Amino acid sequence: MSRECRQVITHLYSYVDGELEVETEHRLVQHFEYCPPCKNIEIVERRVRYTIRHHLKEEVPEVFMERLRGRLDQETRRLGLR
Amino acid sequence: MADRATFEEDVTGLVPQLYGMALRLARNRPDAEDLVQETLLKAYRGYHTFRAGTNLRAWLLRILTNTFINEHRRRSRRPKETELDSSGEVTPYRSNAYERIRSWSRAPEDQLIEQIFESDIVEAIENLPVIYRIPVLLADVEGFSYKEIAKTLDLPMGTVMSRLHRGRNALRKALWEYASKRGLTPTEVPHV
Repeated sequence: MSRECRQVITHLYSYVDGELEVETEHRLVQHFEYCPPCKNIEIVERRVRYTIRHHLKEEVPEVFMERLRGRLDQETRRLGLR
Repeated sequence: MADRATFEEDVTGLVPQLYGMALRLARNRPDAEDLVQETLLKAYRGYHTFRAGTNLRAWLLRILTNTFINEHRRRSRRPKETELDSSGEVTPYRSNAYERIRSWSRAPEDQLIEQIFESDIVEAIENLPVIYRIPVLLADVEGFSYKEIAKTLDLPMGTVMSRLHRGRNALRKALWEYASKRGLTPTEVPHV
């Protein structure tokens, strides 16, 4: 791994977050074009995030939704609202 | 105070996101459901303070994370959570493990990466100490910007960035370790 690769990897999270300054971002874009090993890591990082996001999707049990509505009704009455 | 119907209409679609976040924080359903309920009751009572046109999801997540930090953690009987050790400071992408992926001659396929990393995601996340887990969830799951996370958690940007960085490092390292234990980490680019 070259010195440039190491720098690129240091900025990887911010790069994927879209939080880098334009110049640095541009440098990374160029680097990925000619450095397949770093490109591999960039692909992995993006996919890891995708995997985390999709793996954590949760269904809300209908029983719980009903409990919530019940609590809101209760609170509405308590506060003397409609 | 908004009326009941308006409030319900506004927040119902956001409950799944609150629920997912609460589960990862509380780590069990009963506590997570209490957390969501408390969050929504607070939001209902304070709905007049919500500025229409701003981000309702961010507002609710802010209430949820604050509620969790203030109350649920205090109540929890788990041993006090510690900070990550210094290994969290080093990006796993520079380690030998990821060196293998670097050396693949073909770009890794989405499906393959997913297979490698989907094992034990929940456990890996829930093992992160809370101060790292929250920013990681807000960034990686909710897609919040650094600025939004700083606002949500009332922390300086620098703190957010360093916790996020360390939390992500630890998480990616753990995911790779789980995958290795299960024999899911190929050494060569697989032939498809």
